Parts: sequence; structure tokens; C-alpha cells
Amino acid sequence: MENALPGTGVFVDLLRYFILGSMLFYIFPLAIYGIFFMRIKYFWEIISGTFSFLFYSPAYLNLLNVYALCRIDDISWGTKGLDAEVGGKNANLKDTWKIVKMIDVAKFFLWNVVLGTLFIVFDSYLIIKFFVTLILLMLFTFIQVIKIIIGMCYIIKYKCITAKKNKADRETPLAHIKDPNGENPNDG
Amino acid sequence: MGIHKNEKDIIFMPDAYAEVDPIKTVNGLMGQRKRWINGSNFAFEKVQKEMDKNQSEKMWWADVFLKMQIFYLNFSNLLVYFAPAILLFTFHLTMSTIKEQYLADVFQINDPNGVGSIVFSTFVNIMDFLYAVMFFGVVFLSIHLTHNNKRFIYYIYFFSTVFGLFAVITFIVILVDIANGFAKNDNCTFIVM
Repeated sequence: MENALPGTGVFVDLLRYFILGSMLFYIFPLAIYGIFFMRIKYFWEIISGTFSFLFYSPAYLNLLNVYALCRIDDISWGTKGLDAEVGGKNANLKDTWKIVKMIDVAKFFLWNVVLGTLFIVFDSYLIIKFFVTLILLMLFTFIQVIKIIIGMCYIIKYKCITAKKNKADRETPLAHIKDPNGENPNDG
Repeated sequence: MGIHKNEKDIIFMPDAYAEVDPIKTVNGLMGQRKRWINGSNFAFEKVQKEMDKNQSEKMWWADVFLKMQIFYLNFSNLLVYFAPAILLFTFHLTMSTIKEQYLADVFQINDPNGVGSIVFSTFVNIMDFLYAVMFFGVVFLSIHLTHNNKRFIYYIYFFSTVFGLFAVITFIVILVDIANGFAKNDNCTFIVM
């Protein structure tokens, strides 16, 4: 299916760089962290942790969220027997919640089936598939970029605050320690 | 945002020290996450409903930040809500790539009536069907079994292993595909076939 999409080369290059960029963008906060705090060993920890993160992230998204949605009427703390007294008066309320939950789960299920079917049907059309992939990639990259930028802001903010404190400490050392006699230790 | 209204702030502490008592079983993890996910969703809904009631006059930027955060969280909630469908799409693309790049040589597609040809042409459909069955199974089991059930935990082990393998395979396929694209200066199979 060569040259099916006019001007494909440029767009495909764009997509390729998008995927690579969304992966490599993680280097910026790591580099800032390494430079500011001189802890290079975190690089290796994060690179080796990427595989376990990859391994459990779809299970987390699919299993835990679906389980949480399917147990949305279950407000117990998980402690056995301690909250078994609830009942009787609340039995009707429980049934209502169960119906609400079932409607929610059915909605979730149907929406996902519809969207998944649409995705697979669009897969036959090259241009639609291309734009669907582009939009999804852009959404994921957008989320990652926002997270990373905010995280970097927090690192820089912390560094500025501590640098200010250190400077103040250097000018008047031990100023924060209260002398029991009321005398400033810097004077003597 | 109550933090900003009380004129306090959050800072990042890299050398903070805390002792935690982590969960040691999968049963416990399922129960804990159920509580955390549902609790945070309900809290989020409450904040979103009562957002306009409590507007701070002093710090106008706190409200702007709050609105940005609410928008961002709605956006990521939407992605989480449609996560099974989006994962199906990724799964579909990966399986198509594997079919085009690796299976074409294995099965004899030149023989139109052979068994290999039938398997080859329906490979992606079979995989999509298996994914759909797995998704349906997860929903069905989550409704009917609790996290204290032993059988349910075995199902969870099975599903999480399969999903995890799929994620690692997708990652490797994307990387190889991009490398191929750069090397041959050609279209990536994963994106455009």
C-alpha cells in the first residue's frame, strides 16, 4: 500500500519522532535531577524499572480499574467481620446501589465495545487510522509532557528554596538555633 | 487548593524519609486499590461539584490552577475510562505488524487454499477476539467474585501475565519498527501499512 496517503513521508516522519520524543522526553527530568542532586545511580534504577513498569501498567489499567468500577457499591474497608453489622435498615439502599452499579458497568462495557469496534473498523481505512494513531499519540504525549514539566518545576522550586536557605545560613550560621540565655551565638 | 487558600505550599523533598507498611498479598492489593480508586473518584466528583461555591478572593491564581487541574484530571479520567478500547487498538496494531513483518515468511501465503494461509489471514481477527473475551472475562469475574476469593486471584495472575507480556511485546515491536524505518528510510509498518 505504498503512496496511498499523499505526502505520507513527512507525516510518518512526524509520527516516528513523536513516539521517540515521548520516550526520550523522560531524559530531561532525569538529567536535571542528576545534575542538581548528583545522584547518577537513579538513571540505572529508572531504566531497569521501565520494564517492570511496562509489564504491570496494562494490568493496572485494565484489571484494577475495572475491578474498582465493578465494586463501586462495596464501601467496606476490607477488614473482615468488623463492618458486618451494617444491614437490615440499609438492605434496600444496598439493592439500589447494586442497580446503579450495574448500570454504570453496562455503560462502561458498551462504550468500550463501541469504541473498540470503531477502532478496528477504521483500521481498514488508511487515512482514518493514521489520524486516529496521531491523535492518540498526541493525547498521551500531552499528558506526559504536562506531568514532566510540572515535576521539573517542583525540582527547580525545591532547589531554589534550599539554595536560598543555604545562603542565609552561610551569612548568619546557626541563626535558627535559639540560645537558652537569649544571646545570639554569632555575637560571641 | 485548600493548601493555597491557607497560604501554605507543597514542596518537593528528595531526602524525605518515611516508613510504610506495604501490602504483601494480591488480595490485599486488589482491595486497597479498589478503595483508593473509588475514594479518589468520589472525592474528585465532590470537588468538581462544589468548585464554584468556594472561590478565594485573595489568590485568584489558585482558582485558575484549580480549574487547570480539574481539566487535566477529567482528561486523564476519560483516557482511563476508555483504556480497554485504546489497549485493544494498540494490540490490534501490534498484531498486524507481527503478521506483516514476521508471520508472512513463516506461513505459506502463496498457497491460497493451504491451512497456513487461512491462519495468516485470520490471525489478527483471532487475536482481537481473544482480547475481547479476556476483557469480558475480567468484567464478569469482577462482578461475581470478590478479591478474597482464591480462584479470582489465580485469574488475576493469568490476566496480568498475559497483559504484561503483550505490553513488553508491543514495546519491542515499536522499537524494532522505528529502527527499521530509520535504517531503510521507509514507512513504519506499525503506523502505516
